[in-house]
Amino acid sequence: MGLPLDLYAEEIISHYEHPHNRGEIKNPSISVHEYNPTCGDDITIYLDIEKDKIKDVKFSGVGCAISIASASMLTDFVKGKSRKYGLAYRNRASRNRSRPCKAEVCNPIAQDSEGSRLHVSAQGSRQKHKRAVMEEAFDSDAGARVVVLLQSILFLGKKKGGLSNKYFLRLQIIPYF
Amino acid sequence: MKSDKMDFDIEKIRADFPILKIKMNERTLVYLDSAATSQKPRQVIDAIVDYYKNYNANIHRGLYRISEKATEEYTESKAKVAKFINASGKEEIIYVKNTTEAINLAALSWGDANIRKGDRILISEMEHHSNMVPWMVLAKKKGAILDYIQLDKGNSKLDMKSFEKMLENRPKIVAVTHVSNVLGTINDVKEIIKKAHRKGAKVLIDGAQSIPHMKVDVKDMDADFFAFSAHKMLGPTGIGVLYAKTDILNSMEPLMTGGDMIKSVAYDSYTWNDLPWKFEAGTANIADGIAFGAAIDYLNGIGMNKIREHEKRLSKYTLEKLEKIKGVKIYGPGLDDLDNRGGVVAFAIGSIHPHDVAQIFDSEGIAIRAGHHCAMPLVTQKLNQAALSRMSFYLYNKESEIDAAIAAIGKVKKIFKIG
Repeated sequence: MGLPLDLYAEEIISHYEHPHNRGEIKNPSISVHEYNPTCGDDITIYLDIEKDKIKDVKFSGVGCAISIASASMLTDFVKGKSRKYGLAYRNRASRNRSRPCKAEVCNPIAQDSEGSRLHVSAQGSRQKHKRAVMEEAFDSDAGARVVVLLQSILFLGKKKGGLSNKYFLRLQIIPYF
Repeated sequence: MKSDKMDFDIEKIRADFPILKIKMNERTLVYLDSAATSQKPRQVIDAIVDYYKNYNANIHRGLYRISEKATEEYTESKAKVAKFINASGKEEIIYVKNTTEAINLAALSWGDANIRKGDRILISEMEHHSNMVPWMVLAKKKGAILDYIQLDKGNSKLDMKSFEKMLENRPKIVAVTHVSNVLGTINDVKEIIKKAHRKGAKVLIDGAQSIPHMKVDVKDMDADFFAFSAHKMLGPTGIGVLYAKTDILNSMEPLMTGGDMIKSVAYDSYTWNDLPWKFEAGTANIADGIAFGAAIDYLNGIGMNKIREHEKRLSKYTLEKLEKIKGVKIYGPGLDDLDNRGGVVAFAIGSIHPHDVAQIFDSEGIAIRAGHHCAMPLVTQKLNQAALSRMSFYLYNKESEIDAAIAAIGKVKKIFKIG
C-alpha cells in the first residue's frame, strides 16, 4: 500500500463533484483572480460586501479536486461573516495557541497588525501553526486539511489612509508540492 | 529484439544510480519524469566531487599542476561533446547554462544581426516555450513576422505540407524541436533542414529531448544550430550547449564580454578570444563541464542505439497497456508509429485534473509530471486541455515501473469513481 490518501477523502470528492457557491457575481464589491502555472489552477473569487459583512461569495474557474473543493469550503466559510468576526476569531486563536497569530506570521502581505481583518490564512513552512489556525477557522477537520494543503490565503481588509473604506482581497494559490 | 534486450543489463545500469534506491514511504522511488531532468549515475556525481576535492582551480590561467589538470579536463569534456554529436571540433561547442540559454544566445546574437523588419521567422506549433518565446521577442523587437508550422490532423506530427507552404515565405531562420516534450514525436529534422536550406534559411534544432535518447549527428542532419542541456542526459544542471557551424559562430558577436573571452585588451581596443571561448565570459562552470564529460562517457559506454531501442520497448509496452484502459486518452504518435515516437507519453484520464493524477501517483511513490509542460499553446490551444499528465522514460526505467504506473491509474479511477 502507498500513502493513505486522506487528501482525497469522501467529503472532498463530494465538494469537487458538487461545488458550493460556484458561479459569478455581477458587479461584485471585490473580485480576485489567481492563476497557478505549475498545475493550471485558475480561480476567481467574487465578494458582495454590505455594511462590513460578506453578503454573498462565489467562485469560478478550473482546478484540481483539492483546489475546487477548497474553494467550495472556503466560500462556505466566509459567507455571512463580518470583519468583526474575523477579529474575534483571530484573538481567540491567539489566546488558545502558544504562538500568537501575528499578522506578519500568518500573512506576509499584511503590513498593519491592527487586526481589522477577516483573516483566513495558511502559508509556507509553518505547517503546524497554519494547521492550528485553520482548525480554529473550520468546523470540519477535512475542511481545515484541505485548505492547509492547498495553502490558500484569503485576505480581506479595509485599507487605511488614501483609499479609505476600500476593501481589498488577496487569494494566493500555492501548489501543494 | 530478444538479444537486444539481453544485451541491455537494466539492473546493472540501475545500480549506478544512487537515487533509484531511495524509498518513498516503504516503496522504492519510481522515476518517470526524465523529460524534465534525468537522474545522475555515481560516475557523474563522483566527477564533480573529484574536481572539488582534488584539483579545484581556475582554468586557462594557472601555471601550476591542478590548474593545468582542470583546464585539460574541462577542454576534454568539450572534445567529448563534439565527438558525441559529430561536430567538427570543440570550437563549435559553446557551453551555456541550458537549452534555453543556448536558444537565447542564437536569437539575441545571430538573430539580432540578421533579422530585419518584415523578415519571417518559422517555428512550429509543438515548440517548448524555450524555442518559442525568444523568437517571439526577437520578432517583436525587429518588426519581423513569426510563422508556425502546423500540426497534422491528429495533432501528433508536423504537417509537412504546411511546412513547405510556410517556406515559400522565405524565412531567414527555421527553429524546430527534434523531439516534442509533450507528444513524444520525433521530427524528421534532416528532411526539414534540407528543405529549409534549399530556400536559403538557417535552421536551429532544439535537441533537449532528442540527444539524451538517440544518436545525434549534427553533420549528417546539417543543422546550423543545435541546442541541448546536460541535465537531461545524465549530466549536472547548469550546463548546456549551443552547437553552431564554425563560420556562423565566427560571424556572431558575443552577448557577454569580460574575462576569458578576450585575447587582448588595451585601454582603447580589444580582440575577442578564439572559438569556443569567445562566447564564454568569466570563470566557467568548471565542475559541471567536467562532469558533463563523465555523462558522455557513461552514455557511450552503454551505446545510444541501445538506449533508443530500450526506450522504444518501454513506449510500446506502455502504449499497449494504456490503450486497454477505458477513459484514458493518449497523445502523440501511436503504436503503429513507434519509429517516430520517443520515450514520452502524455495522457489524460477522463476529465480528472492532471494535478490530482500526479498527486495520487506520488502517494504510490511514482514521479510523473502534470501541467502544460512549458508548451502552453500546444496543450491549451491545440489539444484543448488545461494540463496533461506525462510519463517519460530513460535507460534506467523498466517494465515493472510501468506496471506500477498502470496500477496507479486504477487508483485514480477508483478515487474519482470513474469506470
